Amino acid sequence: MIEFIADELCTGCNRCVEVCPTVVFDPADGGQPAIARQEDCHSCRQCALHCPESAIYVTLLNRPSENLDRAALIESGRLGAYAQWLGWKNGEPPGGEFNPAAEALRIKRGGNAPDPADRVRRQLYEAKDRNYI
Amino acid sequence: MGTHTHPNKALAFGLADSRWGERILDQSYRNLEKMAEWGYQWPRISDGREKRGHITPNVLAFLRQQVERAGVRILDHSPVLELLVDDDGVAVGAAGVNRLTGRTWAVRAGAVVVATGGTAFLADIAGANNNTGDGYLLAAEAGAVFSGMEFTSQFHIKPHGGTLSKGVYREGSGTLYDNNGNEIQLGRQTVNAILETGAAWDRFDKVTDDETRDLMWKAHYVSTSFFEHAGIDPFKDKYRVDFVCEGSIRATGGLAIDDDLQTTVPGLFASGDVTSREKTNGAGPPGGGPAAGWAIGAGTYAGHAAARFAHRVGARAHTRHARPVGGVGLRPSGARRDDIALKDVIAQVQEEMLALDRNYYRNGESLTASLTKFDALWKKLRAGLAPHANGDVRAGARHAVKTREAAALLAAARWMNASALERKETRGLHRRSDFPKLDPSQRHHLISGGLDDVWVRRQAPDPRAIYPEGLAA
Repeated sequence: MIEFIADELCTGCNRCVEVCPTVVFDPADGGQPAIARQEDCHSCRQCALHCPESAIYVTLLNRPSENLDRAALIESGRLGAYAQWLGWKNGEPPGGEFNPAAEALRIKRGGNAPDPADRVRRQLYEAKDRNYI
Repeated sequence: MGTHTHPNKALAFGLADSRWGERILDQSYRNLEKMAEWGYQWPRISDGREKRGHITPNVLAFLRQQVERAGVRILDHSPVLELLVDDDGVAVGAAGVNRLTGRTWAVRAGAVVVATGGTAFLADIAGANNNTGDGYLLAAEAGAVFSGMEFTSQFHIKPHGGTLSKGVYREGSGTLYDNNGNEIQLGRQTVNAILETGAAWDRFDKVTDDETRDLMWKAHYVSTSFFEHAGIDPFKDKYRVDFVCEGSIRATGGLAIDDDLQTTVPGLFASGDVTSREKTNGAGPPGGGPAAGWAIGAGTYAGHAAARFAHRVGARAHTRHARPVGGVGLRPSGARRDDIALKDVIAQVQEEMLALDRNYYRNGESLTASLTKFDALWKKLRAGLAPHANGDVRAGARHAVKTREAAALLAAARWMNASALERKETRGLHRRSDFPKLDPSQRHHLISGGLDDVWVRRQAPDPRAIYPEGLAA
């Protein structure tokens, strides 16, 4: 569920309006788009990915959260965490040397192939292998 | 490349065709290769080999770039509302609205491909709001029929209060419990725990060291970010899980298609989850490999066949008589009624289709009752439902999409439940509590269709198909 657009970060580019598949936003000329139909959001996070300023907070919760500490969320980098995980920068997908989810793989592998004797990591590795598709 | 599993032949319950399993996996590998040729950098595993088939939003962004680069004009925010058909019943185009501008659009075409996905009846899951079964409805209005609509009772685990029904993240980590604290398995036991003890719970008991915890968290951040948003520590505390309806999205029923993925309407092709996937997955369940293989490979068949069809049509494509065939929700047969609340229509459909005790486990009594209810609701919508024309054109366009989506949910539910009533056995994704066993004599497909009057008929398995041993056609 989309929670908010951070006023202090939004530049009014309206990219979120373009990419939202369920028309959650109403555009504004040169201003910040309005979250006009929050109930139509189904957490696809496309707006958060495409926002050049990482100004949009979308949760995987099915209803709005109460008492959100906006300042703390922005400060923590939570708004851009998903985009960063997928390797997006400034609202653009990874380019030339693009490696989707490379970060996850790197962490998962610890930079090396799993030690055959490391049962847990090997299982994680193989499970991930199996479930990629 | 990843390890792709062929659907377990025994699990396909005698309705999958081995030729198609091989064919679709082969095509999906070719298409992933094609993406690499186009310049997509698949991640590499430690020995330097590319790791293909890791489908993320990045893949979608890349594919869109390719389409744009090829010079295709994309109509964003422009859902299709209906098909255009000529005097011979051939699909000749489509029409819809732009939700941002409120303008209408119509496209005349040599061939049409419907790729609108399945439906989860607007269940509380990411993706469901774009998978409303609207493609079923507009294809049916052009005369298309369905196959295997009883194999649509797909449900999956989801954190309670969350939106992502993707269970991979907890495999090997989580332990499931019923509401009394007894350990249970994923699947029917989870459903039974929810129905009989009131709830099911999960905790990542199997992860005991910080390093593995960190790995698991980051590798599956697409899912584990839920716990950050919800403020839950799943390693320490049990969190409640639901078993949520995914309907036909990960199931196998859908539009009946031939070997070219053409529907029963000439010129109308189908690709992806809107089609029946019985050719590769039989009665289900939907394996990750073959399901993704279908998503990646099927478009090639539909696209090639549609192009050949359009080539034969040639310049006539622009001169054929084109008649819009959208009915319910667009052109009411009677006087427009303003007292039909879409919310109520959707709630009535969801009451039957999202319920574990009516749709995960089906029974003849509730199926019959649901069809009676649905028929009455359909009559009401058919006679009086129409988009409101008052006020802002953009709001009007959005409302037109919503009326069609609500009608499509109802239409899909009727084909599904009519088929489910007809199959008096349990097979794959179709579970009847009143017929809990597989009946070998019911090894046939169920074809369904119709709008005002829904019908279901049996069809013998394809005589050309290659089935598992001991199940010769």
